[in-house]
Amino acid sequence: MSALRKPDFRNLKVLVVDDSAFILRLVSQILKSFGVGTVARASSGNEGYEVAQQFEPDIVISDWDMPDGTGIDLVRNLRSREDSKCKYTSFIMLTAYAEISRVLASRDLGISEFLTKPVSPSQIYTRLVSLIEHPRQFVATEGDYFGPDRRRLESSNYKGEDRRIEDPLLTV
Amino acid sequence: MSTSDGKPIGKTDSAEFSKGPALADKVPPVGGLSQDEALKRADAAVEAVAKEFEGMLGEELDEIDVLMAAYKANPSQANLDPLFGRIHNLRGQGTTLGYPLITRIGTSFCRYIIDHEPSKQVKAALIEQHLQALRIVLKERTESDGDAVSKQVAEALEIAVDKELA
Repeated sequence: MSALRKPDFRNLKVLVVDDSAFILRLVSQILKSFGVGTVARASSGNEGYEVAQQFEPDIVISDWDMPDGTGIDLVRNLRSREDSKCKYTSFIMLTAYAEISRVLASRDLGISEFLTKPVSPSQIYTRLVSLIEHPRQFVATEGDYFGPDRRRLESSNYKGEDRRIEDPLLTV
Repeated sequence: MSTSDGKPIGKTDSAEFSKGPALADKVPPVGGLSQDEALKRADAAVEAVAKEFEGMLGEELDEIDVLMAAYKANPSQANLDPLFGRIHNLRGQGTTLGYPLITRIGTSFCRYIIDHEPSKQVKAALIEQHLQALRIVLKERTESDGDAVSKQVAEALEIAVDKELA
């Protein structure tokens, strides 16, 4: 059961990015219904980056496929551009594409959560609570990945070698 | 266990860890709405947006018709992409806004475009049938509040796409 009995989202800032005006309105209204304090909107990945620089959101919820800069461009820019003020911002990819290849590709670019359309308020709520209750540390690898730690499971049965020299699972 | 040059497998994949965003600091566990209350309010908000969607769907389909006409005049990828984008968006919105058949027909369309053999030309007639089906969904909903015909049309389209992709 969640420890967030009545989470107070009023200090939370969320940026919603989608080229569909309806989805922008829909997701913004859902977030406001939850009590999220400030919701900003952008209609493309490029605009999303500019708005994020000004707004410095806690969470970005973005579509994948947009004409002027995709959601993938956006997460890549947020995580890796020198001037980005949002390298650590939580990122939810919200897309009608559900192929596993897309899930893996966006995971490998540093998204925090993946949600497929059609989306329901309860799915959005669950993801928000998950980001708050189960924060993941960030990892930068030599292989150029920067983003939330992609390993979610801590299996006590794992018998293989530890793949990293500084494995946090050994040090905490 | 080691590689041919003697390095331990996996041990070269070093990583630097840092603390992620501490959203919990900004979200006190009490003081807001319970999950039930929040979802009830959100459902009401979705309903309000859905009403607007019904009003705008006709205009959206008119704009898609213009894109279709451009594609028929010049069946290029450049003209197919915006058409795909608009229907793909409708597919994503339909079910949430009370139109599951729009999502179903949109899914059939997207499947056809994504999975068709690249060497074959996309059939404009089949695309048009999908657009007509979207119109039928809207017409049926506004005129009779039912969806019996739309369901049959959606099923027929799925079969047609199956055949094309076989």
